Amino acid sequence: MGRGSEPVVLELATLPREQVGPFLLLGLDKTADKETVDAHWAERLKWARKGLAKVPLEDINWAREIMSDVERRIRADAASLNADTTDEVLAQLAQRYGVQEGRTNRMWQALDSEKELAEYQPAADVPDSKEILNALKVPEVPEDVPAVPMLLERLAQQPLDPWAIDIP
Amino acid sequence: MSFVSFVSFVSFVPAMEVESMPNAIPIAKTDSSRHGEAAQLLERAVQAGCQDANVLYMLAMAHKRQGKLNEARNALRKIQRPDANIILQMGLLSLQENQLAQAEDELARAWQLDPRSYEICYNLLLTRLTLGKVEDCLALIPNALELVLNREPANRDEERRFLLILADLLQACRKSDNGALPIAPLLNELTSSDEQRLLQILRSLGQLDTVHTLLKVLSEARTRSTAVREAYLEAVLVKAKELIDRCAWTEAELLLRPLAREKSGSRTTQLALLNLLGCCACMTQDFDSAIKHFMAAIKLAPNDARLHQNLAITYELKGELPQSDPYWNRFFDLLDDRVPVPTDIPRYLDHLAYESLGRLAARYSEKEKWNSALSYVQRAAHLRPNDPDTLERLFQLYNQAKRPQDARRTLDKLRQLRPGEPQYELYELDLIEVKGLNEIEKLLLEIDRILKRYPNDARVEERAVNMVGNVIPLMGNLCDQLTDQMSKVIDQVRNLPNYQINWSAVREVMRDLLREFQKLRRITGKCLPLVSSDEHRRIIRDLADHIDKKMEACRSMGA
Repeated sequence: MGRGSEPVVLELATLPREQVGPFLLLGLDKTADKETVDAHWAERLKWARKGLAKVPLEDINWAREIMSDVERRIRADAASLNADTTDEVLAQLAQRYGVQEGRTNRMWQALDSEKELAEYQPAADVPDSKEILNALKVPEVPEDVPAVPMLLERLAQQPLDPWAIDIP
Repeated sequence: MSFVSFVSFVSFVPAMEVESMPNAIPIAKTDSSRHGEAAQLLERAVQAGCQDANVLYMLAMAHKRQGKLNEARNALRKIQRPDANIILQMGLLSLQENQLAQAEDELARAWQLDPRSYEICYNLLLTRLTLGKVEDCLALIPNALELVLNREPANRDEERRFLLILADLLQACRKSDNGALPIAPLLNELTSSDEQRLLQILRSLGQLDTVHTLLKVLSEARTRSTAVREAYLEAVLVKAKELIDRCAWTEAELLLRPLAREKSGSRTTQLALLNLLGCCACMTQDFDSAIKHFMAAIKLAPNDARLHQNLAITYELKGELPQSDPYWNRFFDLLDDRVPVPTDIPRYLDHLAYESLGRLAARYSEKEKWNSALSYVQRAAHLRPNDPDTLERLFQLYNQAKRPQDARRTLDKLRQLRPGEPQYELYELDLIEVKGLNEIEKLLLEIDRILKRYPNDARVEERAVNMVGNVIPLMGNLCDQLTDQMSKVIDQVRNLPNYQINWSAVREVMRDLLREFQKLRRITGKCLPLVSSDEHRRIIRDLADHIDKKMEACRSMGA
């Protein structure tokens, strides 16, 4: 007896895999190419291991084996139901609702106006300039080389060429 | 100009702007290459130890614009004190990766840091909507309504109205969850553009459970809108297909069944609905319902090859092979350019037709309906007139259907295609009509001759053994017939008084029977070396013993 007023759903034993066919077992359209077959197979392996699909692992592998052999695939096509119509209505609907390769994807456009770099400064830890200044130790110029201060002054007066700076 | 501002200048100004500037440095022609170069330069700066937030942010944006989401995320993660904008960017990356739970978490963090950002609020709202978190969405909408006032005037009213409609829908959804009738005043007054935008957003959510729930509530609130009803039907179909992909046939059928009598949807939606219902019913072995659904679908689209195939297969699974014939024939007629095929298999439809015909012939052969099987193989042979395998099947079916002349013609064609094929000599023997011991003897002699001619041909040997195996029951039958005749004579002799028995006639009959038994005994002797299985050997030995006893009985009766 079912709980409350809910009807009891009786499930018959599923058809043997040969009658279900590899297309329905892997959720494939009959036009699926090799890449799609492999992607669906990999997805279903994950589902089977997590208990998310009702298909045993061996049937999933069997279906892929059939799909990998062109002759057997065509033979299976001849004996398999088509979940979609010739006009591929379901495939179009699935695309419209963001289903691709058996996965659903969000399709709405998020608001993403990147900030103008000229106006935007990401927050950063700015060290105290006094601390930095205090930490700097200027080497004393030895008295026996009197030309050094003069050379340094001259160098400081020369304009800097930004292109000449070698960034490691 | 500092290094950072230089990089930002050359990389993030649109290409056209750079080109139009006088004396501008020709950095790059396209956006992606500019972003690539910028990313490379910034990456070198970071590798050299630069941990500047500006550099890392620009690096992340350069990667993002190239679609390198992982690299962009890694750069953003290196920023030591991420602000709301940085976390928003991380949330946007998660959205692009379809990691909705992570996106929600990041956007919520960004929202906490900056509750004045409409962008963050809107993205968080839609992310929560996608995740089906109705209550959380409802809690955000007042904030969004407040912030939308700061948006550009052009879109402000439109955005505000959309948010109000969404709030109305979510309220209705909440009431529906609580079992109350959804009352949504705004939903009743939607303009067609409102409705279109709402449907567009709902269709784009990408979470079928959420889409299905929201569209269900919307369709209950807007019972007169065909667009909403159509969208709801579509969502149900896509959801059902998802269940079918997991082989959850019963669940899919339960979802679709309430819509079975739906007439408001478009023709294509109805068609897809009936077809899916048929597939589910077939998979749950409710073949009568499946046939009903497929028939209804065919009424809507009489030229859909796939529907005819589905109906034919269902009849087959139900065990009504002859009923499937007209639908198979229609399927073959409709196999043309309209039927979509895999692009990586050339001449797919020809192969499909050929294999389908061969398969049907095999099904009819299993049931020994030789004429039906023959008609399918004839069509297959028409598709591949020079295929020896098909012609061999055709030959065998002509034989089974007792059409020796056609069989002979087919064998001649086979000989032309494969001259010198030893098996065909054995095929020739198939044309001998076995009526009595003479034909059996001739057949065995010929088999023996062919085996000696091709001593090491495994295929010939195998087929020869099969043919001898087929002869053994015939020999058994003949032996039984002779035994019956003998038994009748012996019974008469036992039941009649001695003076009434014509002993000369009895002896005559017994002599005839003895001759026949001797011939049969000779044939069993020839048969024995031609068989390979122990079972066959045992049968032949038993038969030989039986014949020996009968021969002795004939002799005792004066033969």
